[in-house]
Amino acid sequence: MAENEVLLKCSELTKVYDNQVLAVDHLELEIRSREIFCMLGANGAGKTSTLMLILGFSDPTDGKVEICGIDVNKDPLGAKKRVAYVSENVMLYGNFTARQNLDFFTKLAGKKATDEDYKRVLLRTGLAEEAHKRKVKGFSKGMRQRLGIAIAIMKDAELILLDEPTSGLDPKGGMEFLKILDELRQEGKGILMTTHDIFRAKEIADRVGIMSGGNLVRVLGKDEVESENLETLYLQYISQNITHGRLVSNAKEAIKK
Amino acid sequence: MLYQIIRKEMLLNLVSFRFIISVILLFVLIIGTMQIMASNYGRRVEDFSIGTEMHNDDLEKLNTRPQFEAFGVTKDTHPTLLGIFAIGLESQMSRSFMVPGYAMSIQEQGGRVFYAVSKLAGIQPEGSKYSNPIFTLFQPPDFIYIINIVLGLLAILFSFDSISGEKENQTLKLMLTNSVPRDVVLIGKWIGGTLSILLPFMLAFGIGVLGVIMRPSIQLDGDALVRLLLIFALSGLYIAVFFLVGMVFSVFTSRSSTSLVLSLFAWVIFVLVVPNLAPVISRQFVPMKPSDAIVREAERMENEMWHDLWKIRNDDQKAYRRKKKEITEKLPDKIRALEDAWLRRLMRQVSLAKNISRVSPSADYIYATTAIAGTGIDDYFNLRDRILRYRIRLGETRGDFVKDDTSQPIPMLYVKVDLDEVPVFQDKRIELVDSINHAVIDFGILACYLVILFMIAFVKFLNYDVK
Repeated sequence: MAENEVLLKCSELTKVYDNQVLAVDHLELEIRSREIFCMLGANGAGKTSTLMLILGFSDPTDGKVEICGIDVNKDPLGAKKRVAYVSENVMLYGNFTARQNLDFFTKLAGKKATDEDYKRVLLRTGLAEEAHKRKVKGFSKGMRQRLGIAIAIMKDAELILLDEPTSGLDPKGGMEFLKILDELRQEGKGILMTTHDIFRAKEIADRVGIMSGGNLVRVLGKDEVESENLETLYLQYISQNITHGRLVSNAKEAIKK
Repeated sequence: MLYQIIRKEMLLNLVSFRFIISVILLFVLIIGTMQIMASNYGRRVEDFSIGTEMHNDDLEKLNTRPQFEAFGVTKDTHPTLLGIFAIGLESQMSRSFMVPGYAMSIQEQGGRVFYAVSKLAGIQPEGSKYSNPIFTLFQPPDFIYIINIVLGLLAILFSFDSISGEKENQTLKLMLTNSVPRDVVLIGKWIGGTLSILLPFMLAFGIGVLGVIMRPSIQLDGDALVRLLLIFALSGLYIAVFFLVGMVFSVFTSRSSTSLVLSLFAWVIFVLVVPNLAPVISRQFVPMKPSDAIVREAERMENEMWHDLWKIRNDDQKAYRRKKKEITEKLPDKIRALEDAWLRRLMRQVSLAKNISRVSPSADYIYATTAIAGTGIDDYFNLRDRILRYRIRLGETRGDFVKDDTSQPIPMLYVKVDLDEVPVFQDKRIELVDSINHAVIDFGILACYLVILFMIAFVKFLNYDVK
């Protein structure tokens, strides 16, 4: 993977839902390799809608998304090979063991792995060996999050999307999680993480974007993240933009803006 | 990728509680019902042998003409072997029928009335003389009943949450973040889910059939084996269709509870409502009198004509004879026209009911399997035609096997029946090729259901917005 390669590029990305709610508003975003971008924003700011557009799960009203130079709308399957996703609340097949879940999703991603590979990645994400052969329906949220990360690691995609992955994790779990993200960054992955957790964002992010009203209203670099009072800045922005997820009378109007 | 999804579906089903319950149900019901039906078949074969012997003895013992006129020849029809699997109209086909002597003397006595009307009377089923009444209260289900009701329901219970369940627990989203085409997901789920039911079904079917053919009274020849395989294939197709019914609702809804309710509603409509409503609707569109009314009408016509003749009995004898000749020539034709009209109407009613009920995959399955087994509607009418032809043949050859007993003082009052000269009843069922021809429409409709339901699920699933 080339240094500083653009892994994700959102250009003029806009999404207006059928009920005329403007969820994403002319979003411009680039994420490069070896970069963790944290997207902060209140509920309904458009974070998850953005992730859904990146994953090609919904069609943009305007603009486009490129993953590793592949237009998501033109070649969704090609783009999906280059991206892994971990949701806020990782839900897996409860009647499968951790190993069986990992095996299924790894093979679905077209990757080959040995039992040893599975064991190694599960241990890396902090899942104790005794849990590998346990059914996932008995797992805590933290354990499922770890397994979700293991699945993303096994996919070995250049870009990793994380939707509020640390919510509900205990402090120790959160710390371990950040450690794994850091390792992935070292391996050259680009990571886009949506979160409400300002403290963890400060700790891990190379850049932080504050999202409000479907757009990034402020993007802070590493230096700014360290120098600025991120908490105050974040609260300031979200209180200014309480009209997130606002209705637009005419979708075309929003597109032409 | 497809293999992975199929494997995942099967593994998930394999470890589920519903799978264990389904396997137990399948084995108990399929194997159990085949054994019960095979045992019933054995009893019917025994009834047939006893009945044939008894009726031949009875025929030989007839020695007066009035006895022969009243009881005539009684023949038994052989039970259908594949009725073990698809009983269909077997209870109305595996029985004896009687041709009284008077019904054989057609032309001279206007006897055509009797044999023609008895064509209608032949519809009435006869119960077995040897059956325990408890069995009549609790009729054992046959194999196709198990497939039609239980397997149809199980297929739905396996598929109702195939998509909606994965939407609910977000695993579908995770699956679709991979570069797996949606059609592959859908096909994989369908094949995997259907195989999860088909494999235990195949095993239960195999064991059940093995148990049946191991009975000494049952001989499966090549023809029966092909028919059995076709019934098996049709059953597989039916299960696949009902799996898709549940899957379609699963694709359209995002809650598995909603898709379950909708799927069960569709099951009730397809399995219970449509097949039972179709005959009622057809009766409304093609109303007809009961067969007894036609018999009475024929009798009335006959009486009226003879009454007219009676009134002129003392007139000019030449005119009387002319009138009598006219009556004996025209009466049978008039009654036959009456009955033919009734029969044509009956066929229209049957045909309409059949076509309406074909909306239901359940009805298509029953029509196709009973046609293949030789216990369907066409087989029933075919048997009636053969009985009718046999009656005509008896009438034509009556003089060869019933002769006046010249050893008696008044020979014309006594008869001697020569058993060797009694025409043999050809108990020949519909050929395999013709059975397939009769089943091909319903087989085609089931196949169309498969394609249409899959296309509906496919189009909806392609346009599904993952949230």
